Amino acid sequence: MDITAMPALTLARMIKEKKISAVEITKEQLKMIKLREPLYHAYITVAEEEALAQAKEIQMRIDAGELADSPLAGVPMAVKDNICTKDIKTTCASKMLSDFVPSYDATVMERLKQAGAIILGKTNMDEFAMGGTTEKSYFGPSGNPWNTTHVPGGSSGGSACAVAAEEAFYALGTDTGGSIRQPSGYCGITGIKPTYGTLSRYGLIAYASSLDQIGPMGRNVSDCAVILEIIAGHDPKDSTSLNRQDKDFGNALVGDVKGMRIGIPKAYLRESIDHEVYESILNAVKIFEKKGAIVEEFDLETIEYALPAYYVIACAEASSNLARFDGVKYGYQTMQFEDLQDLYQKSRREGFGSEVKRRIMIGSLVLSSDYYEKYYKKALKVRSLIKQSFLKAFDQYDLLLGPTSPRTAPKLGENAKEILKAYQSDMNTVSVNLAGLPALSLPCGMAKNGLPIGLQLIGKHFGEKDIIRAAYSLEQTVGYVRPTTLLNEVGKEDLL
Amino acid sequence: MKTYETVIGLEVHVELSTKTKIFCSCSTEFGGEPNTQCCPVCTGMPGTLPVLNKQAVEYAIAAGLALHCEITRYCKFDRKNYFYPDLPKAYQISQLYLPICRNGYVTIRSKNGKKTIGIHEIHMEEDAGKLIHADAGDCTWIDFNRCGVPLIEIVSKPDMRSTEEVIAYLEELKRTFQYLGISDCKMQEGSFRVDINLSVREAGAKELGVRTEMKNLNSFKAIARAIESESKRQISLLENGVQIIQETRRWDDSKEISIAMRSKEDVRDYRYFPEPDIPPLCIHEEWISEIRNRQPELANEKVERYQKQFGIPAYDAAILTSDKYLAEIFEDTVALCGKPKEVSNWIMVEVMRLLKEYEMEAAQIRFTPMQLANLIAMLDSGKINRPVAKEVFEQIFKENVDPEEYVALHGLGMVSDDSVLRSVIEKIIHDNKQSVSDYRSGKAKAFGFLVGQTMKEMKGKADPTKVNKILKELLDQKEYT
Amino acid sequence: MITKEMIRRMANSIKLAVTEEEEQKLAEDLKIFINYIDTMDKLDTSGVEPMTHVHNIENVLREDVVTNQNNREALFRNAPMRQDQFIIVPKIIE
Repeated sequence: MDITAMPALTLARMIKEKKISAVEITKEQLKMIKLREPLYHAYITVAEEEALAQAKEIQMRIDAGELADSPLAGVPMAVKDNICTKDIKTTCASKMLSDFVPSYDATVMERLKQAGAIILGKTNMDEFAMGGTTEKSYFGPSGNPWNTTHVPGGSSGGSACAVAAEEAFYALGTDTGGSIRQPSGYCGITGIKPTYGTLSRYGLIAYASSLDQIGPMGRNVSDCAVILEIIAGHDPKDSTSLNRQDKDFGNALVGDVKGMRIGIPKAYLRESIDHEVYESILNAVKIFEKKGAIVEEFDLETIEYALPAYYVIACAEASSNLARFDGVKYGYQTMQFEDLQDLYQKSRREGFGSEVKRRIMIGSLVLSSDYYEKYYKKALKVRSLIKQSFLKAFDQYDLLLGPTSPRTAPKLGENAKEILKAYQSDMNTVSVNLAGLPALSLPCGMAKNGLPIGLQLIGKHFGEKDIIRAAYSLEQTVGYVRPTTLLNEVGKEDLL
Repeated sequence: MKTYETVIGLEVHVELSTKTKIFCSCSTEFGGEPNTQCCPVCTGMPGTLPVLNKQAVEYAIAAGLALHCEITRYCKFDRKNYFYPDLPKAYQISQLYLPICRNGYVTIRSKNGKKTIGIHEIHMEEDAGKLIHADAGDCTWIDFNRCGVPLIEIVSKPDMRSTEEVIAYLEELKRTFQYLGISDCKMQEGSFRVDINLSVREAGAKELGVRTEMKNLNSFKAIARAIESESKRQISLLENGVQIIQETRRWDDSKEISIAMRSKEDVRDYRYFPEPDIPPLCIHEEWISEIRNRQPELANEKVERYQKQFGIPAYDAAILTSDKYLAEIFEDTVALCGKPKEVSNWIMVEVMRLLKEYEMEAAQIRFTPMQLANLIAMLDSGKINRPVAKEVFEQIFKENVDPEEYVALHGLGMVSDDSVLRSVIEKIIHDNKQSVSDYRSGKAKAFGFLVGQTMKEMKGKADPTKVNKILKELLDQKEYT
Repeated sequence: MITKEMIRRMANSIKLAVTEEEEQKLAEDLKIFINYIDTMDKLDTSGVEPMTHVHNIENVLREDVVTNQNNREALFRNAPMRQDQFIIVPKIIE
């Protein structure tokens, strides 16, 4: 088996046991990246020199015994390009930041570095995290490793692609309305969006401040749980970060779901869902039931209002968060301008893609004094009701279950024309962000078209351990499947 | 001929004297090298987040308590969105919906007696950077040092009717904040900024007229001039049947006119919405009590105490406490020399005179209470006389000299040896026989002349009291012819 | 309700120059979007408090201690237009 196909924890153990060094594996991984990038385009920036230098340094620390307690020391990983990495270009897949090099690390990066992670590079995404396919990237889309004529999903599509295509052992993504879970589902990997506030947002280039969270994406539940444990925690630089005492997510890796009450919101199994996806979910439900969980459908009230509320709130916050990109302090500046207003207008018009501009417009509209009450304030009230709805559901159930997306990954170019169609594919995931709940996506089957199907588990606030436990249990039966494209790869022999 | 009434409301921005900025740990010190007191947070770098300064909140609450406001128990921050190069995030974190203090008042004294000026609200916000427009060349420089300095904005009700009331209100605010120690309120350093909202209406009318807002007022004198000018302008427009446009006007003090700023500025929609990066503030009663208990002695309390403890009359006490720094100098000097009435005199007469002459604020005084106390001691012990003391004090004020050294250096000490004085007076008498006989024939003026001549001869280094005494003694002795 | 003029005005206030074509497309897109979000009207939210923060945290405060230092060069390294110690913009006439 390719060494780069290994789960992160397995690799880490091998490194600890001195069966392979951090430098060796980094070199291997970089080779694979070179081989596969022309096909999949998972990365915007591959930081080859930096990664090798880091690998050397980390190996020294390992040899000195410093990282004995670090479960993922020496493992090379990838970072979504909206998370600031010191001295490595951070572009948000936008022309606006195509040359931006931050002089500071995001807090989660500091923690990973301390734990001995090796950063291979920055992964592709939809511009400023606005989108669900990576087709909105200024640098062109990524391909789904299962079938490159299909999208990997988004906005953390590059991260999902890198993990599934074995171009990184794990990756960080961000999730505002499903951007970790949906691409994880489309690419057949596992991704977790933690409870809002679990991870620091300092250094995450904001899309929607009250919805954004960073999260792990890996090839199995264990990897993700351990990554989450490393990066979670209060940050004095982020006023919305929580002081959680229950961060030992690794302890939830037990396969026992006996007596767990699992609810399936009926709205998740509505007509528009793809038949194979439906079958796959039912199959997973049977597995859970066999293992002793109690599963039933129920009505999750107000859920149908989640999408409009989400878009109002996300676009509103985004319109404000992206106002700082004005061509003056950093980022893209237009070449010719007559005066300050001209500089602003042209830099933003040329620096932002059309989806970003559209969402900024929507956001400005719903915040304008004429519409504030009707749309923005209303959406905040709807949000409150949605949270209450979930709280009520969690009185009855330990976790909720449903398909991550109503269908498998669409073809490239499929959703381009109609804005609503593109937005509606988020319907299963956005309500979770509105309520600030934790959620996980893991693969639960394959469709006949050869594309993976993802299952979503939603926990109550701070309920990561429940969803990790259930996911781990399901994974024992369903397992992890490598993309068939990797099994039939050409050109590898020349490299190795 | 109609009579008009001018109606004025003020928005005062006060920089809080916290050590760090409101949302980051950069220094707020005035006068730093450009762009050396800023960080990724206050320069709006991508991915950065604000963290609220506890001291700024406590200062804002202290201000609210001193101005008799209700403290909003549950308050939040909001984003005010607009584009300008001095605003790096393209939004200012401010408070619109739930400001920290509401419904207070200030009592002022004007020629019509006491009056209450209502305070609509006080809210917290962050300051913007500084724009420097290069004279030569085609660019504007941005200095982010001031970005993020904590501000409170005090919005008054439109209760003022004259320049006098406006100045009294501003002086009361200034005095209160200086006493609280929450701001040094130095207009020339920008820590105390005033915007004027002014409208006029026919005397007796109940409705308010259309108001304009005036900015760029950099001194109390400018404020006075601006009020007079705008009042006249609006009245003149109304008299000619012209509608007043609601707009923002920039005051130009050198030309003494106001100019309308581009009107599209006035139709700005700031798209306010609650700040998602900062959790709300829940201000409990215990916290408020703590802050109330920590409040230092305010001006009114000092006025009472000066009267009781030092026997200073109310009027004098009011002047001494008109500025916190004056009051400090007064109290500290009295503590050193134990002569409240003497110190009071020096401050009320000489210090006030010199402050006016050099157009300084008390906060800019350089000399220490020790120097003044020493001067008073020297006067007391007869080392120098009062005219000399006045001269020396001026030097203390201007050049921060040490009185003892200065007197020694310039030989200003009074001649203490009476025999020397006596022989000089004898000489003067001898040399001015006409004056002597004038005096003897009842012309009192001649006595003064002889004193003057003596002082001249002594180069001022004689105690006038002693000169008087000895001169009289010698003149009255019939031995002399 | 959503007109091209409105789009133009908004674009101006958020500093996003748009072409005629873009104005047209945006007006259409926004119309569709507004229709969609109008569905929120069907949900009765009377008496409900608007929710910005998902958890009930409050009073997150920091001590007033200076920790930041002069970092000008690092801060400005991505600035498109600089002059000595400043970032510059085209001259503003007030």
